[in-house]
Parts: sequence; structure tokens; C-alpha cells
Amino acid sequence: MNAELVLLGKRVDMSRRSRRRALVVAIYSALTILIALLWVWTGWRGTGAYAIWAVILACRFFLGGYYRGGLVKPFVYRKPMNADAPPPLLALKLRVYRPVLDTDEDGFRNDERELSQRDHSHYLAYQAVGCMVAVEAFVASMRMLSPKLQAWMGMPADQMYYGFALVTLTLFLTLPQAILLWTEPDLEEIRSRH
Amino acid sequence: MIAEQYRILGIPMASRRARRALVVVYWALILSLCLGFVVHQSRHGVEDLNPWGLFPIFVGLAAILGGVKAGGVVKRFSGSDGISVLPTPGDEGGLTLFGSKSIFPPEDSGALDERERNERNAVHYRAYTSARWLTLALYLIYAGIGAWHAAWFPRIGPLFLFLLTLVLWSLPQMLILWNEPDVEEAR
Repeated sequence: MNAELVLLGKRVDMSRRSRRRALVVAIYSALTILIALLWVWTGWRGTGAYAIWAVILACRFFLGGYYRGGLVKPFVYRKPMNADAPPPLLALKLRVYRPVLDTDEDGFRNDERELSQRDHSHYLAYQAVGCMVAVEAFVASMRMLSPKLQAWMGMPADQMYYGFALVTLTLFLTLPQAILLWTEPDLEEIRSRH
Repeated sequence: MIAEQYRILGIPMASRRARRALVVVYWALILSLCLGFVVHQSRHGVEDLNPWGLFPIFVGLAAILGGVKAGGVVKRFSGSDGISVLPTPGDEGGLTLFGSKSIFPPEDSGALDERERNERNAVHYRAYTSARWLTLALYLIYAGIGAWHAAWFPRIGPLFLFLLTLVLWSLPQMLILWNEPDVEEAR
């Protein structure tokens, strides 16, 4: 895990767990507000994809994991195909870049402990997403059983299913990284152990 | 990770061949269910479907495979390092469907050792990655169908949701059943 973020050219120390937890809360709050606003304004008609783009940007700049950049190292245990490519224009404009490392390998290669943590965070995330999807299926079933619920929920069926898809995809893309950022102790503490 | 003494219709699940056959049958059942769902919807509409019949199918199929519940082919995943959902008396935590006791001996349904926990976590990583791509594909298909014919949204939505639920609740177990070598060979 990286110890700092570089945002708008400013280095932010993220070695403390409290800061990482605050970041996770901020990201999920922002995504929740965005998805809710898109629903209120447009009912997600033609705008649902904006939420997915926001999730991808959050992963790219803050969370990492499935994308290069961000705090969590890439989950895939291999050198990225475009590792030698220059940073994208958006990152340069926002001055969001990763600190220069001593060696190229440290930026993407996970050690045994990190691989173990990666797998465990995916196990926890899998349970959470599995339960959430089961709850969604239950709500969908209730709605099929009693169409009167449609009036009570105040949301057409198509919007409800689309909302479920958005929330599920958001969690799928972010939850393992969020679990890692939430549970990993202060990096100083880890260093002192070793 | 395999409960060696588990048998289905008298067939022992210790051999990989039998377990792979079980996975094939399981997928055939899932696809048949989805096909039946689509046919039923097209003939009678979504309102006429009684979803209460679906939940015993979810629970029953997941229970045969194990993992999320003690007493299946795969040992129960949960342990002290899991997320407690619906905890039951004497439960250490983790994902459980119901609090029923296992009918199999403790050595087959007991807690996982460290090697098995590592294997369980690694399998979940692979399953998560696959499920993530599946969800993304379903979302794109769903959005594409909606853009093309918006009236299909309410019909396709439940189908994709049930398909995803069935896959999510069984994918790690299926990966274990497919890849784990014969018990004899492993010894």
C-alpha cells in the first residue's frame, strides 16, 4: 500500500489509518450523493453511466487496486502492459501522480503478506456483495409478488432494477480496496513490527 | 476443502470426476431455471410469477454445494475471520443461511485450518474477479437492451438479478469442486 497521495501537486500523508478511513467515508458519501442526485434529476435515464465513470475515477486516483494509481497496489501480480507509457493528460492536468519509486518493481509487485491480505479482503467483499445481491433479489421478488408495493416504493420497476445494478457494480469495483484501506493499521505500526 | 464423506444419490464426491459432473449438472440447472423464467415471463408476465418458489431453489442448491452452509460437498467457509451475518448460537461468524446443524461428522464440517483458509481466500479472489466482469457485462447488456427497447427493462431486470444471485452464491464452491484433485491423489 502506498503511504501518500499526490493531489493537485500536493502530497497528502495517508500512512495513518484514521485518514484512510476518512477517505473511504468521503468516497462512499460522494458516490451515494451522486447516484441519489442523478436519480432525482433524471431517474438515471441516460445518466447512470456517469456514476460508473465516477467510480472508475475514484479507483484510479484514490483507491487503486484494479487500476494503476491510488493507494492500494494493483491486485494483478504482473507488470502493467503500459507501465512505460507517459501519464495520461487528465492526471497531468490535475497534477495527480504517484511519487517516484526507487525501483519499478515495488510499484506493482505484491509480497506474500500483501497477496494474502488481497485474497482475504476479496473474501470479505464477496460475502458482503453476495448478501447485498440476495437482499436485492428478495426485494425484487416482493415486488413481483405484490405489485402494490410499486406505489408504496414510489419508484418504477425499471428504475429500481437499474439502481440495483448501479449499486452492485459500484461495490464490486470498490469494496476490496475499501476494506484494505479500512483495516490496515498505521504504516508506522507495521514498520515497527518488522 | 472437500467433505470427503459426502455423497449425492449414493455417489461419493471424493473423486474429481464426480465433482466436475456435479458442477455441470448445477450449471445445467441454473440455465434451465433462467430459461424457464424467461418463458414464464413471456407467456404470463412478471406479475404472475410466484417468487416464493425461487428461494427454496436458491437455498437448496447452495446447500448441496456447501461453503455458505455446513453439510455440503465443500466445507463451510465461515470462521472467526468472516463477516457475521445472521449469527446463530454457537456460530463463530461468517455467512450463514440458516442455523441448522450439520448431519456430517465434525471432522468434515469443522473449522478450516490455515492452508484451507488461504485456499478459500484465493478462490474468492478469483471468483470475485470473474463475478465482477460478469456483473459489468450484465450491466452493459441491460443498459443496451434498455436503450434499444425500454419496455424490456422490467422483464430483464429480475432475470439478471436472479442469475447473478445464483452465480455469486455458488461460484467459489464450483471453482473448488472443479480444481481440487482427487482426495486419494492429494494424500
